[in-house]
Amino acid sequence: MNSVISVRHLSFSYPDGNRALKDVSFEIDADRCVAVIGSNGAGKSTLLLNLNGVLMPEGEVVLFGKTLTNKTVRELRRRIAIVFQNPDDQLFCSNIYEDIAFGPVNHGLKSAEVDKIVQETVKKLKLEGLENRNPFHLSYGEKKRVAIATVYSMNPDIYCFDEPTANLDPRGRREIAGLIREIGGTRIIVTHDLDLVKDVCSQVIVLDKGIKEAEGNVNEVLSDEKLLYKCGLL
Amino acid sequence: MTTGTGNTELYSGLHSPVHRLNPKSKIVVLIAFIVLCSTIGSFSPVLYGAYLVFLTAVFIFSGIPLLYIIKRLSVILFLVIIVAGFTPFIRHLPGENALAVISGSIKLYRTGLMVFLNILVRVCLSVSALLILILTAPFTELMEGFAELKVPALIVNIINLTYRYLSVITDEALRMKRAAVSRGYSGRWLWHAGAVGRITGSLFLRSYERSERVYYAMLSRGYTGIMFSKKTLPLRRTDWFFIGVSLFYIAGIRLAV
Repeated sequence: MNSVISVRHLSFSYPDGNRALKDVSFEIDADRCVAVIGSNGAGKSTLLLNLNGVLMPEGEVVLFGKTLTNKTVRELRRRIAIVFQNPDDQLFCSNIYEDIAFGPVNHGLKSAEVDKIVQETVKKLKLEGLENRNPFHLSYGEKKRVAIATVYSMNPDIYCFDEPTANLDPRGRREIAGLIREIGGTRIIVTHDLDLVKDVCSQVIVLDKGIKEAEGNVNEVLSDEKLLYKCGLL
Repeated sequence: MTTGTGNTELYSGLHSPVHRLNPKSKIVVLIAFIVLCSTIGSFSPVLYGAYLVFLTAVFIFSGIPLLYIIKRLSVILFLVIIVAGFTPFIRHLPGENALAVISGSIKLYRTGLMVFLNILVRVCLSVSALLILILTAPFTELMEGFAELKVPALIVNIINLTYRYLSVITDEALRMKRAAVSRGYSGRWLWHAGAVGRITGSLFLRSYERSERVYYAMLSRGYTGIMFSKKTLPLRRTDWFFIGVSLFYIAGIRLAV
């Protein structure tokens, strides 16, 4: 089996008692682009935070054959990166350079290496000239690109995108979709933008109220109107 | 839209000799300046004059408009006057004759006046020096400078994050106020006070929730307490020259007088 992510009987409750995920299981193979769809509050974002151990799951999350525990979390977190929904949450440094450098610095790279990585990332994501800008002064579309850059610089094996196209204009949406395609590798996209799912994903997982309702290939799931309606996606 | 942060970065991109100095050297001189300036015992025209000459020299090289400094200074002066404005009328030695009688029991004393002038000049000099520092270095470099000078990472991070999110929060407050105004709020009447309370409350909650999300984003990128890319700016010959000359001047005069 070449599955890079296997999630077995994953449940999660927030401290206030809200049960966000109930007994979710799935496998994701390497180099697939998988969509996790569901209405607001279905538990999609919580699922992402469970995958990289920011929230510690009940049940089992296995990445690259290693179970996620307090011991393995730091190593695994480097290999699975999350791009958060709101770029203002992701860009917390006072300029773009520092934000892109944040991940590599935390993983103990020397400043010369960090500098090289930042330059490469800036070039790859076409952010030239923005390095010294304050995130506050960027457009929303630019912020989204920079948010992706901040994890691209960590060279992760898996990318997770939380609502990558939310609040974007059509051009911004097209650019981000193109970028997700270009990045390649194993990708998980949490969204309710079904057009994006058709565009870039091959496999779909449907969540509803914390429960996995369905799983399958894109055409199969997205043509099941009854299911989509039931899960608040149509 | 742009609030707070835009202003301090207004002149930090200029290319004057003062801007080109390493932030670390400017921080060291600033701290020495403020310590020496605020420990001058009684009002000393010679010392203050000498310090003013020093500041003026740095200021002239910096290329910052005088008007901007004066505007910023006036805000602080207002506070000083509120806090210390009564001293000339209160503080006096036992049996001291009043300089002038304003009316009845309100009298102006020389001792109090000197104390007040002392505070006023000290604050003006220190704050101007601080303004020149923050206006001649990009914020990030300044913070890196503090970090390199071994200011605890926690403090530097707090300042950095405050700076980053101040504008986001101001923006959020502005949006909420607009939403309130569109529903008939004007903020003019007493019964609108409740709305201000609710806006403040939800601003606090939103900030709290945001801080949690930001922390998650930091953890996801391997956060362990270090915020900077460690690209240390070395001190060059001009920096050492600046530190040497400045310290020699401000400490020398202090010792000589």
